[in-house]
Amino acid sequence: MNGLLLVGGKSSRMGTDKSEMIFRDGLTQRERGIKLLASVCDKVFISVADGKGANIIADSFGNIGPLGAIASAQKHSPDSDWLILACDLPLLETEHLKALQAAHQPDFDATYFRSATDALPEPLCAIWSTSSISAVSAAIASEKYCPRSVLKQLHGQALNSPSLWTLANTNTKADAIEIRARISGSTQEKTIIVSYFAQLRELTNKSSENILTYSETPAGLFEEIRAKYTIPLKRKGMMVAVDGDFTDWTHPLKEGEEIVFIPPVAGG
Amino acid sequence: MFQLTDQIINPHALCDAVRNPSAGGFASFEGWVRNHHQGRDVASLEYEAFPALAEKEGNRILEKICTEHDILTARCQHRIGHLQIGEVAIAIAVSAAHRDAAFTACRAIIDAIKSTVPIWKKEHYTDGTSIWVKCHGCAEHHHTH
Repeated sequence: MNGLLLVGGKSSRMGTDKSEMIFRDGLTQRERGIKLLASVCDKVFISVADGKGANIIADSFGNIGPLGAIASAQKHSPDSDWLILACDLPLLETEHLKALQAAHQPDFDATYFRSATDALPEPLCAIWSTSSISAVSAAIASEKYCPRSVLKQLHGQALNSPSLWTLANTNTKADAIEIRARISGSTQEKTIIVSYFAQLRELTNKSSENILTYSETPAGLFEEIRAKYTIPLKRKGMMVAVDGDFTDWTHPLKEGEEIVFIPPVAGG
Repeated sequence: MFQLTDQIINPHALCDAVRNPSAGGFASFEGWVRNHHQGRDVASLEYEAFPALAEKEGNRILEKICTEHDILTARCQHRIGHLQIGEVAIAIAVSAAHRDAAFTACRAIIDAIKSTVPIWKKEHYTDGTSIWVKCHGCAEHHHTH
C-alpha cells in the first residue's frame, strides 16, 4: 500500500501554511505526516499543487481540491491501494492508521473513519482501493469534487473515530489552541453556562444548560455540543457570544462564563 | 433606538418618533411577511431573538450609521413571535436634513441588521412543514464572497 500526504491546501482559515506548523516532537505537520505514513506504508508520496521530485505527486487536476490529489495518485500508481492522509491531524497516531489497515479487506473500495462529531465519513484519513478509481474518475468527469460524497457511494467499511479529538483538523487558530492544550495536557475543567436559541434550542431541547468541559475555547465546546446532540451545523459562518456580546472563537473560556452559539442570522 | 417587540408594529408611530424641525427628508423601510419563499408557499413566520445581544447590536448599528450618514434620528423595531402573512416584521424610520442621507442610511441599516443581529426566522409552509431559514446576507456571506 502507498501513502499520500496532502500538503497542498490553502490554509485560508489559519492564515499560515498548516503543513509547516509544528505541534509535536519538533516536527512540522508535513514531517510528522510523512513519518506516520512511512510507519505503515511501502512507499510515501507527497501531494502538492505544483512541483517535481522523486516522492512528489503534482495535482494534475488543477484547483478542484483533494479529490484531484487522490485522482493524481491513482493515475501515478493505478495498481496500488492508497492511504490518503491530510497533514493537519496532530492527534492522529500510527495505531489509528494500523487500525484502518487491519479493517481493510481486499474487496473493499475504501476503509475510513466516521467523524465523532457528525458521523460523516472522513475521506482524508482513509484507504482508497484500486477499485475506487472508476468512482473517483466519474465524480471528476461530472464536476462533483466532494471526496466525502464519493466515499459515501463506495463499498467499504467505516470505523468509529477513537475519540472526539483523534481526527481534529487544525483548520483555524481556535483548533490549534484546543489541540495544543490536549497535546500538552494543560486542559482545565470548568463549568460553562450555554444558552440556546432558535434552531439550537430545538435541537438540544433546552434553553440553557451548565456544561462541565475541558475545552479551552468556544470552538472546542461547540464541537462537544455537536457530538452530544448530533447538531448538523458547522462553525464556519456562525458567530459566538460570551457574557452577552460577540467574541472570537479563540476566546479563552473561564469558569462560569455564559456562551451563546449563533447560527447564521435571518432577521429582517 | 432599536427595539424588539412581540406586539404589532405601528410604522406611523415610528415615523412620528423621528420628526425633527431640522429634517427635510424622511425615509422608511418595512419588511413584510410574504406568502412565498424560493418557490414554496409560506403560511406564517416565526422570529426568535437572543434578546440582550440583538438590542445591543441593533443599537450599535443605528448609532454607527447615523454618524456615518448625517442622520438626525433613526428608529427601528423588529417583531418577534409568530407572524401571519402581511404583518410587519421590521420597520425602520430615519430623518435627515437631506434625502440622500435618509435613503442611504435606511438601506444600510436593514442590510446591517440582516447581517449581524442575532435574530432567526422559521418558515412554516402551507404543507405543514417548517424550517429555520438560512441567511441571505449574513456574516458567512460577508466573509466568503
